[in-house]
Amino acid sequence: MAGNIKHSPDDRLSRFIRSKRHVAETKRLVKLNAFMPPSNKILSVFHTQRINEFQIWQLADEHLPTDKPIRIRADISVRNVSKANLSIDWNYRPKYHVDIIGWPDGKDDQKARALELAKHSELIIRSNKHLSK
Amino acid sequence: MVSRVRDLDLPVSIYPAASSVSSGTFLDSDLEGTHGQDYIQYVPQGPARHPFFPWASFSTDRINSLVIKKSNRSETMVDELDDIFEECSQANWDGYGAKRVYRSLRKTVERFLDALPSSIPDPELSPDPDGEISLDWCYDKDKAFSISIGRRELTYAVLDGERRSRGVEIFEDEIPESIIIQLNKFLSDKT
Repeated sequence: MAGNIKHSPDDRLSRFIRSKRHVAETKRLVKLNAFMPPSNKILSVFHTQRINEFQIWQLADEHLPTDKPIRIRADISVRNVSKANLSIDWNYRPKYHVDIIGWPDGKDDQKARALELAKHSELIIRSNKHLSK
Repeated sequence: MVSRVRDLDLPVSIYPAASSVSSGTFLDSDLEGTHGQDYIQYVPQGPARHPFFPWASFSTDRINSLVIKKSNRSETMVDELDDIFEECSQANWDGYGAKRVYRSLRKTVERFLDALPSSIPDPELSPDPDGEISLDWCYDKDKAFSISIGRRELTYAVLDGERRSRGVEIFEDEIPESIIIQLNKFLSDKT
């Protein structure tokens, strides 16, 4: 399926964020830790270019279940992922899910690339009207 | 770094590449009211220059020690640290398989915070997915400094306009000079 996913450099990817400490909400900034990969060096995001706000937040509810609904995400373009010298695995497993891969081994290098992603990302706060009932 | 030298009563910039750093506790009150206080001492080996008249250099004999008091970080930071341990005490706290943050890191983080010169503002704390703790100074999209504190290692990355830097240092009792220098440069350029 991966090869069949249509995408362009301007397409939006969304990273759902559980920890409020990974953003500076009053400054509308995303911190680099929101984009730090786990030990398997696969950063999970969703390809949200062709779905609406309600559907985007539904993805968070479905795939990152928690006691409180997720209300923060960081959006970044495909182009800016490439600019950070990272790649995208368009696996769509589950639907709309893709991985940011190609992370280096060194944590300092990982932090530097996560800083680039954070720099080019946009902080999105979920509004009450997009909360699932 | 800019500080005020007692004898000259002038702010001076020290070129850190030509200086060394040591720390300790005042035994004699060579400076009024400092007996028993912790300090970090910069011993410049190159010329010091006035920030507004950089062509004017002072004799390093006259300013062979700059004393900068260490800080006692606010209790808010300690509370924040407690909150992080609480929030991240279980693996997968981020929903993406993060490791739990180890309480054994607490002392290291506290030692680091205590060792930060008081001229450096409090950082924000955040958990790393590998179980370390980050100290962040974020001012805008183009200006961020982050240091991850591990058991012995400090891993940092800096984005400062067009300038980028990163590295790994060992943390024992003192914050490595290279990190202090970079932090001071980062903060002095803050607009």
